Amino acid sequence: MKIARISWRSLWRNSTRTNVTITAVALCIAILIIFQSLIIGLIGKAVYNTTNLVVGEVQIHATGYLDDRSIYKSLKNIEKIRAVAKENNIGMVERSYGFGLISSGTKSAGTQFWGVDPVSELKYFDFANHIDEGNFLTKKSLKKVVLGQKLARSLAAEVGTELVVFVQGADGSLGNELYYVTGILGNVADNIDRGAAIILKSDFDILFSTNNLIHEIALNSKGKMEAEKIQKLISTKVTDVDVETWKELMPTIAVMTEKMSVFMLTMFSLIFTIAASLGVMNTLVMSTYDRMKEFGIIRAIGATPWLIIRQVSLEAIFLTFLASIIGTVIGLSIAIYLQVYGIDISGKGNLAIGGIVFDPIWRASVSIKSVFLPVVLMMITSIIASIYPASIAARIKPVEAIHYKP
Amino acid sequence: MRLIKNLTINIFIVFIVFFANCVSALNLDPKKILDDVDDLYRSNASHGILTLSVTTVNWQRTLTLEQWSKGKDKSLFKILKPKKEKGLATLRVDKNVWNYMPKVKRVVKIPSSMMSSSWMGSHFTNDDLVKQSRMADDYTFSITFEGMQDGKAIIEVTCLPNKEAAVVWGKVEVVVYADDYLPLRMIYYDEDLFLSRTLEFTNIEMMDGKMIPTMMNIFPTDEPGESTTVKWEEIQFDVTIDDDFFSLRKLQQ
Amino acid sequence: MMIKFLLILKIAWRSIWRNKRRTFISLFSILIATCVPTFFVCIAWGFYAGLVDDVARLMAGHVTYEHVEYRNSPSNDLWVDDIQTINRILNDKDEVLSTKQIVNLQGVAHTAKGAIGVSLMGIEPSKEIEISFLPESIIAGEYLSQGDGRWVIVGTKLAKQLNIKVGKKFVFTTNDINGEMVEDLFRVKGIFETGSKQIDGHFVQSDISFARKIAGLDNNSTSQLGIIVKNSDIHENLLKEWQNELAKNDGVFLSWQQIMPDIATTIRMDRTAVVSFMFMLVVIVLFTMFSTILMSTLERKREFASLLALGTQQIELKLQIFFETFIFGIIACPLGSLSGVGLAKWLEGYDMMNIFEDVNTENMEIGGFGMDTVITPFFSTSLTLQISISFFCAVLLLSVLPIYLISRISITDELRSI
Repeated sequence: MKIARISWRSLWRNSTRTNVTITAVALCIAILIIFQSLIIGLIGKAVYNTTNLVVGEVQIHATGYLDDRSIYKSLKNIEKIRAVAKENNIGMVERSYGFGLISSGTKSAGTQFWGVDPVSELKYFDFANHIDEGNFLTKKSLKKVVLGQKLARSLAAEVGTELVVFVQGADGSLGNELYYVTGILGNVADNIDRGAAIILKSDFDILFSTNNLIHEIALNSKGKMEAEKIQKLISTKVTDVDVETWKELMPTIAVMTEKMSVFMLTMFSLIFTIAASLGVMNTLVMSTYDRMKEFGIIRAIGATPWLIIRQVSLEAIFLTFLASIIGTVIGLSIAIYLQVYGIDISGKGNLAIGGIVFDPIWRASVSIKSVFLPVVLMMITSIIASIYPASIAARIKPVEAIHYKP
Repeated sequence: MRLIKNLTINIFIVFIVFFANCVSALNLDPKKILDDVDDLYRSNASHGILTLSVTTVNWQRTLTLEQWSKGKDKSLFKILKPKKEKGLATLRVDKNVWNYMPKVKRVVKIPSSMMSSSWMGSHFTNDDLVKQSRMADDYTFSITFEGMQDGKAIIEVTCLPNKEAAVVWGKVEVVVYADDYLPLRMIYYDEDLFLSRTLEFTNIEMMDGKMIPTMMNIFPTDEPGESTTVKWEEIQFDVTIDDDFFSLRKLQQ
Repeated sequence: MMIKFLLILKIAWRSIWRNKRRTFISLFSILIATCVPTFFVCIAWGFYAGLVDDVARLMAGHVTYEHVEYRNSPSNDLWVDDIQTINRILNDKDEVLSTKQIVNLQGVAHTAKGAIGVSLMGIEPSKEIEISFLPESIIAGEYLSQGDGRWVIVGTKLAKQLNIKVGKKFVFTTNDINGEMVEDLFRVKGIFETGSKQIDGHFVQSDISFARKIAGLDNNSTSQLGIIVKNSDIHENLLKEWQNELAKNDGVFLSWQQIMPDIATTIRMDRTAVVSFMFMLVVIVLFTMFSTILMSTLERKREFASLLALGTQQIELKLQIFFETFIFGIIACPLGSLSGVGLAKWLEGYDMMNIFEDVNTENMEIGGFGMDTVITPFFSTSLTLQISISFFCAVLLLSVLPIYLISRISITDELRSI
């Protein structure tokens, strides 16, 4: 304990130097915290966009459905799935898909039709809120359709435009209907933007002559449960279906969030830590040399080299500790500000990585992890940085030290 | 979306028949044959009723259609039965196809991206309706078999597409009766010479003064159990139809 | 006066080398400070330029000239004419590196196996070979050459789905400029793999004369005229100038940022990230440098006090410190820049994907285009110099406080004790 007190006092003998160094290190820590939070915020947003927007954390399809999207490959054990979802409080939507022709008179295009229940879509997913013009469907929106952005543009359709729909039904008959555009989505995800026409499930059934055929169930616990856990839960209770997590469905996002961020974080943290530890080392080295004489005297009266190393290391630890506190306070406050307000990098386009469109306001995400890691990292590097100056002090012969002239 | 196969019917069949004729005679001009052959199912204009039966792994349906055609470029089909689709019509003029839907009272032009989708739910595509006129330019023929097969005297003609012809097939084999050259069977192979689909002709009857096979069955090879059958119930040849009969206005009536 | 100057310079130099450790640490921190941003700028700027270039070269170019409605709903019947003249004039301009003509057609490719919607791009093979990366992506067969006619190249996904290989045929159906349906036979000359699902599954490239024939366009018309410029940061005024000078009828000039806004945003976001990172890094390092310089002054307070007591002018001491800082800067900054550039050069050609071994390359996409993961740094003397000089100035500025502190030295306080 005595060493601790000595170390502490030694720090403050040259208060200017110590303060300057503390400020430098504190800044490093603050920046590291901010940066970590921003990166984690980016990842979080990406995951959120994927899962909460339209894909969900887990999706269930009949075996092999995604290979050819055949309207006949529908889900059979829906009741069981519903039960599992309800039991665990997981949000669930059921969707039907079919392909056909949609025409606005002058222009026509092949498109994918979505039969949905608007109430549950609005409750558990976000894409229904991304309406650019008009409104999303409601329970009463009979014969109304919501179009993806690019599809609407290529059909030159606006809210209220009449569209002719011509499809081949599940029983082979030729379905044809008139729908009216009630809403146009903003940029959501590439596949939706280009070719999605969203209608009520009941309209879908009439058009395709189906009887409540469900092709896809998307589950969203809004972060309460891990995707893999949900997957396991479903697979054990229900057989004969494909249960996939968002990571399996959208591998690009998964890669980006897991690998690249770790890579970037490590690289940045390393560089910052090196920079900061240089500062610490610098200070310590200089202070060590200043006290060469003292060290010499202590050594002469019997202090072990080890003692000196401990003292210098403790100085480093105290320095870093103080710096950590200040740095954390600064960093945390800025990070929290960024979490609420974010950095706006929006331009005229939309950020699209791996098929999902991003919201161009970059928010930080503060968590214990984003604070804890930088601090710990700093501490460790400081200790390592203090070894060099400490060893200088420890190795020198007492006689030389006493006569040491800077 | 169904798998698309490009299929040529009518003209092609008949054309082959006559070409076979030509080869054995050794002094007939293929082009002339083609023109003569046009007349078998068409003449200058025709009007008839046919049933279209489609069997897939998921459903089975039968439609009754009324058909008008003039020359090689114009045809009009209207559904008579079942009641749900009655009045649904397809108009083809040159290379364009329109569908009329009586339920919504609207006409839709089939965009080129949908031309390969199925027509009226059958194994035919919209493309098949328009692809009728260029067979003579697109294939080279030779007789590969003459003799008895399954108790019938037949001639087999093998047609190889010309190098630059816009056809997806690698080879088409046509089997006709040796005596009257009426078609019996047509077999389509892809470019690697794997069997792709088979077309069978049956029920030879007399209609409006001509002997023609009134029933045609398509069997796609990679969809076993599926088929489309066309049966002519009645057909009249050389009827008089005005050109403007084949118009969008008429389509909607 | 001059002699005094040189003397002070000599003293500054000597005093630096008196405390080798301190000097080295200071030099080292300035070096790192200059090195890292330089390195990052080279890598990051290179990445973006590469991304933009890659996409620009694959598609039309940095700038395209096309029908005004084409962007909103690209259809086969929107084209621009008088191309020969416009082409010639553009090629004479300084900013333009090269131009190329493109005919785009949307249609369907059929084989006996099935049909898929595709985009046909008719190009000039001789030009594409120089500027596009598609020729390098060929994994079977060969790239196009002039006069290939109906021999085209397709993506691996498309080839697989239609069951075609090199030498095999498929029928292409589309609408010509009059809205009439036309079809023609294509044969596969080569198969490419870019890593982008969209391109590998729905993209066909042919010789432009054949595409023109199918579309029904004459030699003087085309869907798009692509322009590759020397500097990919397109200035709006340049476009306005060209628009007024050259555009005919419904033609309009568009920059890549307007054509591919998704990429533009991705780059902007990433650049913002890198710039903020560098800003923070710079702040840190400057602070470290600052503390070093400050400390080296404060520690010599006693020494300076003695000098002042002996009659040295304050200004002379200030000058000494200034020179010391100057020398630090002049040694460390260039070295830092050089090491930054050197580091970037060392990494050149290294494929980043090696870090992610188990990742499927196929799925790396940004804005719908395959991402090139090989590191290609951007070397620019002007940029490097800029960074170097800015840091140098920063270093000099850092000496301001220490210099100021000289005047605050109280001789009596310092010399009070031994």
